[in-house]
Amino acid sequence: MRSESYQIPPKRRLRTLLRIAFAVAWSLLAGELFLRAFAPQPLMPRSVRASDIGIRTNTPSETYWQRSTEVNVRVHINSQGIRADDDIPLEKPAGVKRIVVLGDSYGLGYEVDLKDSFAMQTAARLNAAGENVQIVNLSVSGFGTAEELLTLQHRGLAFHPDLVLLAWHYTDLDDNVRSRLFTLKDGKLFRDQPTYLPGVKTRRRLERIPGYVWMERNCQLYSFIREKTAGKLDDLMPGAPAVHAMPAAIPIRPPTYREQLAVALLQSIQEECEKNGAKLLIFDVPSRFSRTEFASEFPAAAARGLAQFDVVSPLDEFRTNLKGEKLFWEHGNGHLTVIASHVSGKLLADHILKRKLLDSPPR
Amino acid sequence: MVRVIGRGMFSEEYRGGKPLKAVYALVDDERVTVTLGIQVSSFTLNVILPAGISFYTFQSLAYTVEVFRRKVEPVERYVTIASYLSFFPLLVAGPIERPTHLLPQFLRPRTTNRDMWRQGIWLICWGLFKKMVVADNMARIVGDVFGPYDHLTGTAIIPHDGLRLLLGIYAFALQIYGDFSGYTDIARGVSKLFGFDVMLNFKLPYAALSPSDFWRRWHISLSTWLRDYLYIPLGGSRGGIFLTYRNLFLTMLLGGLWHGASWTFVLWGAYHGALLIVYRLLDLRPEDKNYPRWANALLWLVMLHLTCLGWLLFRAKNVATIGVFFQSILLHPHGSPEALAAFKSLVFFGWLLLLFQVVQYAMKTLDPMARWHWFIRLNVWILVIMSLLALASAQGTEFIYFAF
Repeated sequence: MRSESYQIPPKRRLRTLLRIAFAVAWSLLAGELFLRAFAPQPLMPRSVRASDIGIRTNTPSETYWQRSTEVNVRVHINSQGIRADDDIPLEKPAGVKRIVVLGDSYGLGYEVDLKDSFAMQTAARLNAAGENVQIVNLSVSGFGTAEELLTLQHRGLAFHPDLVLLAWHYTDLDDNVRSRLFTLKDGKLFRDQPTYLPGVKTRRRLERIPGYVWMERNCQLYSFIREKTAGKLDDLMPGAPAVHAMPAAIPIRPPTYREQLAVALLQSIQEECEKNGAKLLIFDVPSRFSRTEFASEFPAAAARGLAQFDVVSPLDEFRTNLKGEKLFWEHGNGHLTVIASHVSGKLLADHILKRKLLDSPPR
Repeated sequence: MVRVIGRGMFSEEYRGGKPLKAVYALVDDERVTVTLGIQVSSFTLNVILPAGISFYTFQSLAYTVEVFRRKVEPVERYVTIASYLSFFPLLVAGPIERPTHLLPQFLRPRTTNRDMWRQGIWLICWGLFKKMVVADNMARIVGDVFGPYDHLTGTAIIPHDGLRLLLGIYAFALQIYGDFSGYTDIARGVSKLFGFDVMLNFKLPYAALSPSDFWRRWHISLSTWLRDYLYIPLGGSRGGIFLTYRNLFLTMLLGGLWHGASWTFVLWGAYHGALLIVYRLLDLRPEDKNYPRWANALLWLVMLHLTCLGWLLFRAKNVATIGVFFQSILLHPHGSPEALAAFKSLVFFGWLLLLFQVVQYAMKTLDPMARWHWFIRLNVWILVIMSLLALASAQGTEFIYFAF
């Protein structure tokens, strides 16, 4: 029986502490090695800051790599917070047609090289057809239509766009409601909250921890724990969204609030474009349910009767000519693959040329 | 949860992962199932039984017989026998405990100690690993090989490349072992945390050298139950060669039937009965005799494949499926990209379990962790925990033996 006055000798205590410290350090290292050997995790860093208009923007002058078993992509953000190799002057050079791209990570071309993104592919095909097109990609990962409207108003119009290309994704429906930047009252759009900066403060604090940024960009164990924890927390959150299910068909029902809000925001974007002599083209990024199952969740039914939008969707191409191809990455964050981006770029370019969307309106 | 006899455990309803819930009734009336919201076909429905009935019926039978034999004193309090029969870790898939072993533990104060906690937590994690990493991932290979069910013709669509079918049988051997022994490990681990010691149910079954050796290692609680309450009362080996063989055969046949009212289970039981008889006829008793090493290795290889053949009978949907497997394996033993993918999955998800079993065999202990240096233990724990977190199948399947 150990007496109450028994004290663990300091040397033994130190040895135990050292052993625990070593065990923890080794466990972390071994966990990382395990993941790299048996279950490689995607490393998908994204870097955003608060902008002066109360929403997120890409962190200027940043370069990071997105890595998974399928991709190894360099993402460079210029000093203006735009995914581009060089800075883009606000003044449009003579003879150049500008396309301002608005969207989320799909619009930004995550998980593909810049030249393979659908926006750059569109430009490449237009230039090959004799146009002189420049892309200004103002997309930011996590954006909804509400943030895209503000970005166009405060940043995009300064670039004097001839065409605004908006990448629509079904997540915009919820993002718009969640951000509360705009609300609908009696069918009219009102500005609500002044800012929407989810996770930006926390991120800034974390980034001040020495080594955090390096760990986020290189450590698979960290990425794994973060994703697992976030997934579990999402499940536990009250009102957690249901599993994203394949829509059966175009719904025969009155439009929901989120659909009405999305349409109202798109209408506002369209009005901004018209006021400034630009056209709006919407790229409807299909939702993926399996390698062969896709759907469009653009609120077409809600838009009907409210507004007319010029929409390009690669859905038919995905379902027919590209059936069975890998069109969305399957081991990373599920963005468009190179082949899907190229096909989308071709469809968009063909549409722009056919509808003469880059031609200046008669004055 | 209910068990429906007559449709077979591998019918679409079972494999669809939709356990019928919370009905504790013995009924044969479709009106009851309709009222309860259970959709079952009147064509296939015979009887609905509570989950795990095979296990606690045998447990209560053992108590009755042992009391009759005066080996166990009848318990005085109803709550004691009720606790013994409904002890939750063992309720749905055993092990089938004996009153001589488990009942006294309810009657005396229980204590736990550090070693029991160490063993208990390890058994729970190792059991989860066997189930979620090994068995559930093997289930995908097995499901592909044994074929999706064709609702139009009522048959399974089985691929015809022999190598893939063979790998599918190996995968099922790992699946059923990981699934059942995984459950047992979890049950034993949980019991240890409560201060109970539950009997061993598996002892490296795929290391068996002969059928009798296999049944000393596989589902030990059932095989010893059948031995004590069926084989020996039938006369055991006391009535001469013919009666011994008859008793062996009958015991195994009924052991097969215990798994469910399906011809494939009857065939599986008969097959194991026949194996026991053939080995006795040939006087092959490697566990008792000192054969040279190469002979033991050969006997092990033969027994492993005989066991796998048994699993084919056990898993096959019907007798026709068994024929297709034989035909393809023997006449079309060619490879295919699917076979290569199945092989990779088999190795990827099975290597740690197989390696651990080899170590257990070589060290002649089922708990080698207790003997290892803390740094080796730490690494084993890391492998197991990381596998559970990163490699566990996203599509979990119900424990196979829940159906029995």
